[in-house]
Amino acid sequence: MSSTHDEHGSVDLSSENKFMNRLIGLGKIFDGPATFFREKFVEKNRKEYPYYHRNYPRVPTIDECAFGDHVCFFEANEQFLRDRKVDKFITQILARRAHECYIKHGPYDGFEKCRQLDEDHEKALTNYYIKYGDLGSNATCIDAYMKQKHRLIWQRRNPEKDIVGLEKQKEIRKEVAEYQKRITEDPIKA
Amino acid sequence: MIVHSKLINLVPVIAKSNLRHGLKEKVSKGLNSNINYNQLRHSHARTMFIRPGKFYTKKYFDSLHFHFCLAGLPFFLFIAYQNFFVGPAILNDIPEDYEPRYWEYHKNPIKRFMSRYIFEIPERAYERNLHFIYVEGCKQKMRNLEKKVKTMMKENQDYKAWYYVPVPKETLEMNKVEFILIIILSK
Repeated sequence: MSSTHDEHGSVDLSSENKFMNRLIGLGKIFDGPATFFREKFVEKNRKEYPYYHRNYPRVPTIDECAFGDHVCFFEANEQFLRDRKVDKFITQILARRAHECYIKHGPYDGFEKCRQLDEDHEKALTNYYIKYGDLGSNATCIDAYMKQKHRLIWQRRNPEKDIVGLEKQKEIRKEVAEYQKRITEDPIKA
Repeated sequence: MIVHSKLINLVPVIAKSNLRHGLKEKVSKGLNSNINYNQLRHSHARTMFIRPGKFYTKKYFDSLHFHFCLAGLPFFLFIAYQNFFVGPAILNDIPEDYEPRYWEYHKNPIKRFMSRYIFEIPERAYERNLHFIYVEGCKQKMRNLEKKVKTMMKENQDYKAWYYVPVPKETLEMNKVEFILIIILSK
């Protein structure tokens, strides 16, 4: 069933599968009276009116706040928490995309076809961890700021070492892909 | 008087006692006086149809009906009206040169109503909180300053304020003789 959840409120209920089409038709038996009632009686008596999502303006971050300026700190902290939430949702969306790709193609083909989505998801997770990880739920913007400071100092003192290891992960993935190919071509030999 | 007759087949017998068997005549006297036999006096075929009581079921449905009429039905009608005639709001992008009012950020019409007429304006509350944070920050700074001044006065002992203890003249006069002797001896 090719259902795309990217668009808000619209699900594509069509497929080449006859069985799925019949199941969808069965669902429409329940759906028919409800949509009929809605279109005839309800939609005519309603007036459309809008609602909006709050648009938070950007305020100065913690590195632009003076020491002792508690109001500036409060606003920067609020912005920090909002950004953390947004980043968390971004990682969840990427995870969902990769998962749907695997569901569509299966675990075997998905290993090749969903690789880009997997990499995006992992990159987002590592970046989230670099910025917000291990600080706790009661973290403030100052904690994240200090974490960044310590990380930059460490990177300055240890220029050759690499904690994140994205390249190493890429190599591991390549090895596993090659192993998979070898196994499929000749299971007995490899 | 127990009778074994054809009439016995017509009467619906629900409750039979275990002691009743055969055709023997048993007199309900003494110990057997509390046993209910199916007594026939050729009067009528109607007996009490023994069945479970209806009190609790009726009471249950009565209270259910009461609560439904008091609260369930009004709320159901209210919500039906809300969903038929008003409906939830539809998400739009904020148009330019327009700042939405503080209640227009909610989808549900009841929440919109409550945020408009019952609860306070969130922007106002936010600014008020910022004011309190600022005032408390100022107080904190003043308190820290006072503390610092106090400690410095305590360390240096050079200012006539918290830790200044004035020395009375009598103590000096008491020790005056020793003081003079020390000066003479040192010279």
